[in-house]
Amino acid sequence: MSPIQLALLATFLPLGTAFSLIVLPGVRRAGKLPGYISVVTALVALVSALQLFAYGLEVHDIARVTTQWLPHSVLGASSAAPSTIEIGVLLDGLSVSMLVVVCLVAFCVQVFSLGYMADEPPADFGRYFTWQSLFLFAMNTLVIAPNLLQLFLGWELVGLVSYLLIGYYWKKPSAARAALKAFWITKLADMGLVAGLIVLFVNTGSFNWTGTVAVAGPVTLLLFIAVMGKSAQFPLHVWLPDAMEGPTPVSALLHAATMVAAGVFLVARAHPLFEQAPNTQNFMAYVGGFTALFASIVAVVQNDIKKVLAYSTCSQLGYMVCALGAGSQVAGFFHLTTHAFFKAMLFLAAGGLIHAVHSNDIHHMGGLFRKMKLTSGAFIIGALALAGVPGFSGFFSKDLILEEVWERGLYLPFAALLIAAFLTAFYMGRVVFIALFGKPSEHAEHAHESGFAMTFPLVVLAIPALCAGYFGAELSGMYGEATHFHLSPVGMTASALGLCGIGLSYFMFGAPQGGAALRTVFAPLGRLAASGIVDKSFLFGYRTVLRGFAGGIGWFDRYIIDGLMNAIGYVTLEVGARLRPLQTGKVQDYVYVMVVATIALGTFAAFLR
Amino acid sequence: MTPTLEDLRPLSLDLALLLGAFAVLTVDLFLPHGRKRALGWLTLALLLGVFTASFFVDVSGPAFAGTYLGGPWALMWKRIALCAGALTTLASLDHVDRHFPTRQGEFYLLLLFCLTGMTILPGVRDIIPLIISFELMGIPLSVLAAYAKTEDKDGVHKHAPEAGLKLYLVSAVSTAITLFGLSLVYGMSGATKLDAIAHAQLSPLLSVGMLMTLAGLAFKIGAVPFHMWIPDTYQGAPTPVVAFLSVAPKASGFAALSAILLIAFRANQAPLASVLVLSIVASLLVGNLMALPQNDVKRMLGYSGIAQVGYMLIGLYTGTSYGVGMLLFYLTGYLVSNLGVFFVLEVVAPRRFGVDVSELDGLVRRAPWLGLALLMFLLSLAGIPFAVGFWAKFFIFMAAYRAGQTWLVLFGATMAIVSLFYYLRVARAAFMQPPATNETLQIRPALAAAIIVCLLGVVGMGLYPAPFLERAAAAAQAFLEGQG
Amino acid sequence: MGLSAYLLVSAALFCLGVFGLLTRRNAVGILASVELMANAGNINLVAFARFNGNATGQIFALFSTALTVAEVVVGLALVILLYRSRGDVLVESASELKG
Repeated sequence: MSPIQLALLATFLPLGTAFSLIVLPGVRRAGKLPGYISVVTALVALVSALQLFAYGLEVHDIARVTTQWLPHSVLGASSAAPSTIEIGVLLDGLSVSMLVVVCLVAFCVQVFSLGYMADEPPADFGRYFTWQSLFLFAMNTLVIAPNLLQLFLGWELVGLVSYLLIGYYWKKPSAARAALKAFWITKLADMGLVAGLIVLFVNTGSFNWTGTVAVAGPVTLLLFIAVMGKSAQFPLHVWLPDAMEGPTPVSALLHAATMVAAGVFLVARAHPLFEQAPNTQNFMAYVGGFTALFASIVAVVQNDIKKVLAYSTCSQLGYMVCALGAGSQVAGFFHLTTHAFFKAMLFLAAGGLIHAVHSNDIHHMGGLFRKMKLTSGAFIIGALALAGVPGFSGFFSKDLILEEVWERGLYLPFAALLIAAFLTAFYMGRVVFIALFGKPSEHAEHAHESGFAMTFPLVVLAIPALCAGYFGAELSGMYGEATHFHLSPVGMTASALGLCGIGLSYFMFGAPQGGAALRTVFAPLGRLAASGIVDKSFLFGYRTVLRGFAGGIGWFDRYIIDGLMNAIGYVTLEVGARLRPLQTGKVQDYVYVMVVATIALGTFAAFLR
Repeated sequence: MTPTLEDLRPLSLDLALLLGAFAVLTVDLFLPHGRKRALGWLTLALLLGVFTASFFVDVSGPAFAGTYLGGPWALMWKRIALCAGALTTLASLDHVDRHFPTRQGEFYLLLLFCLTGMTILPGVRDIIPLIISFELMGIPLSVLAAYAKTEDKDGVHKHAPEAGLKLYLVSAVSTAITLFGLSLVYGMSGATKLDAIAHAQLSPLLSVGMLMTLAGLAFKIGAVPFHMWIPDTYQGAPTPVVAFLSVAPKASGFAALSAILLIAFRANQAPLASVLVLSIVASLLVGNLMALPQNDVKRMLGYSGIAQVGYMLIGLYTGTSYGVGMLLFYLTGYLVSNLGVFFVLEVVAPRRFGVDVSELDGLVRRAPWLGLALLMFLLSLAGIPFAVGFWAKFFIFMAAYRAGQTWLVLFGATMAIVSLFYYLRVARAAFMQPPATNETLQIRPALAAAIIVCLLGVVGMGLYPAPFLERAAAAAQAFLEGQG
Repeated sequence: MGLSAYLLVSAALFCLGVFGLLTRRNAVGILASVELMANAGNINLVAFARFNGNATGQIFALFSTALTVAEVVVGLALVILLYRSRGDVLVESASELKG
């Protein structure tokens, strides 16, 4: 099959599946059948994507096929050269790489869901897979888009499906609220995208990102607002932690690997446009750096394993945004790909852990490593990759980002990223040591390893999580400058910090008695150590300073930022309700308003020249 | 200047419609009771016939010494009106036959007279025929709204008289205000032709006259602050009538407003511009905010219609050919989406006067296609891509940006987010709540056909909007250049 | 008498109509007030026709009258309907739809 046909297959087959499942309720409610259909569809999409990727390794720009959709004449006169608005397919290194990421993670998540959602009633099970297939369609449309308008269409649909999937447990009021919140915050941010599209079109006559654009500054800024919403950057990140109300596989697919990455993808895609707007890029670097740091601080004090991973995703997205802000499309996108794999794996592994102990709280877990070797192993691999331990994929991509940011001279964001690296390793270590090692809590007594459906995807995802880093040159060459890895002071500092973070978390949470371990280590210091001042000061340092500070930031995030968003929603509803009594039901009152308005406006008009 | 037969040519479609209405009246006299349903089919055939004829007959050119001007603009509005009429007729066949079996003839007759007014209006270029055709459209509407005059055995429709009365009173007051305003406009300009009025000198009395005229016309479209009749009337009148009410007066109202504002008042627009802006902002706010707490879907759609009018007014406000063209496109998209929703409501609850949101629970399980159709209509109204409503909003915003009103774009977009809340609420009920009853929904074929046509329109125009956009833009350009 | 005299009379009539419209409880009374408002417009038209020197205003007034008559016919029919369903013609009893 030709590349274009492969791309269309990967995109439209899931649409067909979703559509059939909607209109054939018999099939949708037939037990596990919808799940199998959806998984097979995802597999076909994955195989197509891999074939396209193989093409892409040889030929970086594979194809661009478009057809006219809206002729120029309907869009009014424009000063730029006449052009038409097209829809079509664009296959180049960037899109096929993203296609592989999306299809692979989607496939793994769907297989995982076969096991994870197995206890759901058939009608809900079918509904879940319908939306999963619809999501794959929407995401692929976005990925293969040859211009920003088509990208936007996919973007909106992705947001809609996210709403449907987060609100899967709609009977739970918190889930319904979370879904709505995610939807309207991202929708609000999307207005930036609409505005950006309009400004771009009016000034250049097309929705393409190529060519010199005079208004690149305002356009990119508006586009970035949408990115802030979709990719959960401060302060529009508040929907992401709440989105964890959805089923864990959904969190793995949408809110770790694909949907939230769409924002990063947009910036990478429109790189030529962003290159012309250095102010926006600087802004992006600062926002990204701040988010990376902020989110990693809040993650330190979370007890819900999914919330830790959610804030972690937020933080890593900050890394990607910062990289893009430093002008490096390669670094940002490379980290997107590695992050997608290990984060999805982390979420799925977390799902396995949650499934085993029936709770999200890490303190309800404990010692699960002994009982669930595979899942725990996957989680550890993911955690090491996330922490940027040398050898794992995350190390390579994070390293590249730090180098690029440093090269660009963005020292403040760089510092933020470094501290975030330390904290990332620390909070992941904390989760690993509390949940996987140590004494099991009573909830964890009956834990056992998950079935094949829930472990196979972990194995599949572990491969790129371990190896993707080594192919950095080939991969990056597909969409930008081929970047070879090299050891540098920056990279080494980051790794060292990561190892410190892990070490610290080991001392705090890993060793059976943190204090005792410290004592033995510091014994050579003699009397000082024996008097326990070192332990005490250290524990004091941790408790008050770090935990207090992190807790404070977390409080600020939850009550002030998040509270502001909630308040906006509440006020809107209240105003609507308060205005109701104005409609009294008496027609003379209606006429009264009309007459008064006419008189008022008439007087107003009469004195206006 | 004596009128000749040539003067009738641009009005041939409208005349055909009028004669057809009288034909229906005559047939009604001879039909025995129990066979009255045929009148509905006759009306439908008439409307479809005139619609098809519109593609073959040349109705452009001036008539009656320039008081009427046929052209692409008038033609497009005529087609919109005929579509709305045909779809409503199709959808109400069963409702009318069931609830008012003996008075069917009058129902269709009133509808046809209303449509005649609607088809004549857009080509008119003089204030006398303008007000006459406007009222020809408006008066039958109050009767139609109150059509279910007695409580039938199902206890249905008991609020129809109240709904009709409110519509009537507001309508009558507006007519009086418009007439007074037009009298001032005539007085200060010395002429009734729209072109001639444009040469009048601005004076306080003229401003007052203009304002009063606009106020009187604006109530029909439901712009704030002339909107208060809408929720009550929508809730109380029979559903097929409300469907028609939600699109027809808006279409005619905008045609009339365009003619008055952009031709007659084009030289003296200064005082009116600020008033328009106030109305836009207020309509967007009131429409969206007051839709949020509603539990009755028909009422909610009334308020949503007010908000939609706000968007359409943006197109009018820009005053550019592009803006007005996009207004026309928006109206077309709004027509199919809104009619579609009401038709779905008619399927679900043909026996209630108000429809609570909970009655839509689990629609996707009771009738999957219907649920899907409802979702598409709601998505279109909310402005989400792949449905025509997205393009409508997108291009209106583009028109506003082109005219330099960037703040309107931002404000409008924000309000669109608010609208998501209530549209999604309805969609959620249909898709995620379990059904309250498991009785199968009976969908009569005529109503199903109407819904399918609306769905095709929403999806078709959403995926391939080009031809409609081109037509609309061309029509607007012709209008503003004085070519009709 | 100058034009302004006629205009003042019609304005006064219009205002009387508005006042009646807003304060009367009887639906027929409201209709009568609307009539007043419409006829105020007619006075304007005829006065302007006289002072502008063309007959267009008078023609407009004729059409306007016909229009108003048609409207009133419908209005009275609706009032009768209201009476039949409610037993009175008080407008405030028709206020069950609200919010």
